[in-house]
Amino acid sequence: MSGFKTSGVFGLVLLISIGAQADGILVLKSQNSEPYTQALNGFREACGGQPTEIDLAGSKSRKDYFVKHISANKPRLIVALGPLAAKMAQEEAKDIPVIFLMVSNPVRRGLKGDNIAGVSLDIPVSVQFTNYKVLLPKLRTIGVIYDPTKTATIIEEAQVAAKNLELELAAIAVDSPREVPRALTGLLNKGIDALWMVPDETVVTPESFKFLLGETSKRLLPFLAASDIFVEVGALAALTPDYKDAGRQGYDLVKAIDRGEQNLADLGTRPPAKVNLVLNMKTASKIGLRVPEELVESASKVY
Amino acid sequence: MRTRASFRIHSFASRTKNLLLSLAVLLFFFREASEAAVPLSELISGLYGGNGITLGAATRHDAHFTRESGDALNQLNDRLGTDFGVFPFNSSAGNFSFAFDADLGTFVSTTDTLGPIFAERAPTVGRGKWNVSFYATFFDYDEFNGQNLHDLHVEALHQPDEPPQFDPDGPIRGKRSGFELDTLDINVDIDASVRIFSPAVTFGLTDKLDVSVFFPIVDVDMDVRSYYRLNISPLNPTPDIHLTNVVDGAEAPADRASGSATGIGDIVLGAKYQFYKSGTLDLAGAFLAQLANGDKDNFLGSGDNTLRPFLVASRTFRALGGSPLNLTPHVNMGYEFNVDNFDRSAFEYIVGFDAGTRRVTLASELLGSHNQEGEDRFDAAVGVKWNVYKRLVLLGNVIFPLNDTGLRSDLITTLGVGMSF
Repeated sequence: MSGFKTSGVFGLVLLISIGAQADGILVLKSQNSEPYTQALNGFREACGGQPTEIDLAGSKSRKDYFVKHISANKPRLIVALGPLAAKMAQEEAKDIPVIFLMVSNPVRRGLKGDNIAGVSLDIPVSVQFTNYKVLLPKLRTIGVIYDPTKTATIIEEAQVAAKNLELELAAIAVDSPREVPRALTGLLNKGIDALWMVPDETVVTPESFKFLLGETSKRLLPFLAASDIFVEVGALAALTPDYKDAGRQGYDLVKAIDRGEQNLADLGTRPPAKVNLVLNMKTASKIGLRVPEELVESASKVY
Repeated sequence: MRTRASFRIHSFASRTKNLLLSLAVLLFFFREASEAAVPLSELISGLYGGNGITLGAATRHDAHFTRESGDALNQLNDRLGTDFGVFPFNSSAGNFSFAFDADLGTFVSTTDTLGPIFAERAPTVGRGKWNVSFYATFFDYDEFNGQNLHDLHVEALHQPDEPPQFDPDGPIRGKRSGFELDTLDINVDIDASVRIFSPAVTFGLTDKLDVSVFFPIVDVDMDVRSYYRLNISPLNPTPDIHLTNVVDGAEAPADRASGSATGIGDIVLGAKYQFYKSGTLDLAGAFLAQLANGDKDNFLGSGDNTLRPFLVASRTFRALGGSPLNLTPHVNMGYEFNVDNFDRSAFEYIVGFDAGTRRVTLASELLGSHNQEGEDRFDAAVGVKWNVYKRLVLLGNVIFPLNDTGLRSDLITTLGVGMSF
């Protein structure tokens, strides 16, 4: 297998480095999935080389191999893709700078310190609201249902963002999917202009999603989803981080460190620089929304 | 005010209703067309005038092959007839489902593959969802119990002079001697081509319960040619006693009959209930009722009502080997109760897998059955499903036999198109 070295025990894959910019960089992947592949491709394209890779295949059992590898090869920098890799790199490679990518809510996961910085998957609520105001010029009151044990921090951030953008946030807390219908009724009584979905697994279940989609459709209410998969089946729009660009952004951090412009402690966590708008134009048409042509053209995906 | 959701459901229901009405009109036409033709089930038994083969006689001796040869052809006809009209039918494609991915902090689709070929997998299509498919299946029957259908041989014995316990309705037994040891070798060549056009609709009554209907239109062409030869026994002291020349009063050795029929096949009604769902294993109970509405006399239906409860188990392995591929092994296991002929009831199972992505899925299955008469049938199926545009899925698959039991085709090809709403 030219260019590959395979561990028979763990099935770990190492890609031999080529290209000067990639020298000394170790990429530690949590697992091999499509979003991680996109991010890694972005990183590779930016650095113009093939950094060494270790795939944890979604399991902590590869930790020993990782530790042995960094001990033997002494990489100058680790790029960790996903929470598992980021946490392992943070804990096991304390003397090596770590740049994490593809991690949601990194602060809650404890991914902060002097040897770690990175790019979060979380799109700032202010960015979301700003974009949605362009899509929905008449947007004044935005409704959201959330579980305080899961997404309280997002709602706190949303309250601030809404205030800054002269929006009103109507938020109703639930602790079970069964409460979603009642919560939606409460929001409708408040006269919301759109329903905003947050990535809250208590609120969004297959059943509750169908209910929310059906009710918002009935009332010709824009439904702003937390993932593009919901737009495909009828929600109006979603904003998603551009995974490939997150990889490119990760390499920007590497360059900044290499040039000595910034140290890790100052870098901290950065939001994704590029977000993709996904639109469902059939839904827009059904609810009587005219979407500006330039917005449609800027969308990464249109259904 | 008409809502979008209700509009969609109403719209699809309306389209489905229109489709079914059009289909009913079409089927009525087809049925009339098939009724105008000679029943295909009488083609073989109707050879040589339908009353067996009569030979010429050199002396005052009558050619006593008539009843035996007629019985032999009828038996062949009956054995073939029980297997005609039994067709496999495809399962529906999967529908939209999702889960929260804690690593990515968002929701991701869990509709990992486009599903199996003939087996069911445990997940249902979801409440209020439709899956509408249309399949076209083509095949020729090639073998019967391992014998080439183009070269079947039936042996007709001579009637013994004094058969003991003569039964006018039973086979002729008794002791034969002399010219009674002569036999007729009837060589039958059967061409049987089948085309099945089958709309299928699955609807999610609840998130866990699907109901479905499979509505086959069957078109069968059949051409039967036969030729008999007289085998004169070396122990026959009067070898010239049986004559096969037409001028001597014998029926012509060669005969031929053909016909075709088109009409509705056996309708299948189904239900599936997913009763267990976990990250590792999905289980469902399913029930199929096959109605004996297809015209058995024209080999358009099996002639038997069957009830088939079965268990469905499937498990999905995501990102197989670190690749974007997902793998879903699946097992269907159940019993087909033949309401009209219990001896033809059978334990049935399908074991297989589907692997791929939401865009392209490759599936392979082993289809097996063991009936009350101890017969085992094994077939293998390989197929591809391709999500060409949005929720439009094209599929193609082939089935080939792994053993010789019964009436079989060397290759059954199915092409189809399906869509979920």
